Amino acid sequence: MATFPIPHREPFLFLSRLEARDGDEAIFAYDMPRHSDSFSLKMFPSLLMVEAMAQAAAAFHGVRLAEDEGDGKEETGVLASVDKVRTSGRPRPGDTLTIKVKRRKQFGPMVLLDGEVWVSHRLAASAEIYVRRGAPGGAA
Amino acid sequence: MSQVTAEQVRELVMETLNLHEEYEPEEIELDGSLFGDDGLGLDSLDALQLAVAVEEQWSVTIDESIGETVFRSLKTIADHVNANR
Repeated sequence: MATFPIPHREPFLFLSRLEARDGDEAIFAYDMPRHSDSFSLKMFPSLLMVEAMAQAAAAFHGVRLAEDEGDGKEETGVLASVDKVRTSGRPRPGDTLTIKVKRRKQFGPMVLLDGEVWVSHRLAASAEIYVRRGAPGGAA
Repeated sequence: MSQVTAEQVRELVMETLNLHEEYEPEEIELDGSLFGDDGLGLDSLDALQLAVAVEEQWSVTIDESIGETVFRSLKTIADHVNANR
């Protein structure tokens, strides 16, 4: 299991790997387990798709900082808000979620990213994700 | 191209930040402070949302380096938009 610059861990980590990164865009994947000791989900709830987009946004923010602005600081992104959430499907156990995030604008300590969740070439969810620069639990 | 008024900016701010339940439009002064304890008390998340809203509404970018100056009041936002359209 890959590690990401966010504090989330199994079973509440909904990122399996970073598949691609191109400038201000990144694509993550999450393999929804067929069986889980922690969750007995028949479907992946809409709320957790929002959580997956938020984790991807925060992780991408941290990856981007480390690669592009690496200055030795331990900084990642902290979820500040979500807006314009739309869901139109629910993944099932065994599905792979493709989670796309695109950085749209930064203003001061705040960063806006567009998030999407795709399952089998169908858009299952989208949202605007607001991330605040800084370490979780610490001042920005 | 007609000038953007501070009243139009006020409507955009209220719509973007869902302030209609808290304030009547006339309660928000056109030259009053938007941020800080002596103003509306907006924060950095509000600033980003406003910057995006202004860009979408009037196609005018607000760079973060001048954000503090531009977001001083509704009038200063209108001035910036009119100077950069």
